Amino acid sequence: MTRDSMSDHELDRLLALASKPAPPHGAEDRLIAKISLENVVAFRPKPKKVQSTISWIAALPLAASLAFGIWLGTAGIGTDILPESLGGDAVAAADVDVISGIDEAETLAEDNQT
Amino acid sequence: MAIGPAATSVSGPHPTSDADLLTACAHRDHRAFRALVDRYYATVYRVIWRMTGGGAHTEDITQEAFLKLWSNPSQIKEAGALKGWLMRVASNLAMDGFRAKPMKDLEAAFEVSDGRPDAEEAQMKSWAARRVDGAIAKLPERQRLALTLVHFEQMSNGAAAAVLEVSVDALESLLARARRSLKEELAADRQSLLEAVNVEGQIS
Repeated sequence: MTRDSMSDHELDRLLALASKPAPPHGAEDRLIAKISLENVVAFRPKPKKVQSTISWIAALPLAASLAFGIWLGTAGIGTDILPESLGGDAVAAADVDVISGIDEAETLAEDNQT
Repeated sequence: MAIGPAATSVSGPHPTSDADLLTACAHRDHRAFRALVDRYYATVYRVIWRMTGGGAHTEDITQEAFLKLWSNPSQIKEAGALKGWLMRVASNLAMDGFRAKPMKDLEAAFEVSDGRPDAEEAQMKSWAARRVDGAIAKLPERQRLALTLVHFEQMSNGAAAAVLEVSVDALESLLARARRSLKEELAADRQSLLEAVNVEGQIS
């Protein structure tokens, strides 16, 4: 019998020997359980924050105010508005030693010795 | 279990068309989906089993195909094409992700006879089934799919060609090449296999 002698009918008979697999027990139930679980445990994506946009809008006037303040300071505008004690002249006129309190420390040291 | 709107839900023992079931599925009707699973699961499973060479991923791939259906039932424009759609999706998943492994090990598996005459016949039948399964598993994927759809699932040439996205002529060419390869592959054991066919006939 040669290799080419197998007829179509014989091949069909041999193919009838092939396995006829059945799904494993409970396979359909496992699939249905999957889609049921999908509905019960719904991991929805977090809604996009609108808050972040609002906070940026709120930050704008604050940043502008800060920039304006810096500009005023560097340009020397508005120093008249500040109290005299905080003014540059008042600080410049003061005696450094008096402000530092070094004189008082020396006096106290002398008193302690006597 | 969530049930869809009453107008589209599936109830009663009467068979419902694929079109009705798909519409109900689009309304997230679990019973409708269950009906489709009952109708097509075994068929899809058998095709995937054949494509993966009986691989362990057969159930995973079958489930994946049905989950694709559940996630978007409205993508199937023509309800009559549902079976073909499932076959196409499932076989593509099988061919893309899980390549069939040769069944040589399975063919060569040693079985111990328990000495009874019926056990010997069962062993012979089992060997023949593994021999034929192994020969089918050695076919190129598209030939194997064509043979599975037409021979084992009794799909028409036109429907099988649609699953493979080829012309009917191309499908017939695939089938012819598959049969020629099988004849060559099984020729060596032809007599033994035909004896097993006779045993099969006596048993059944």
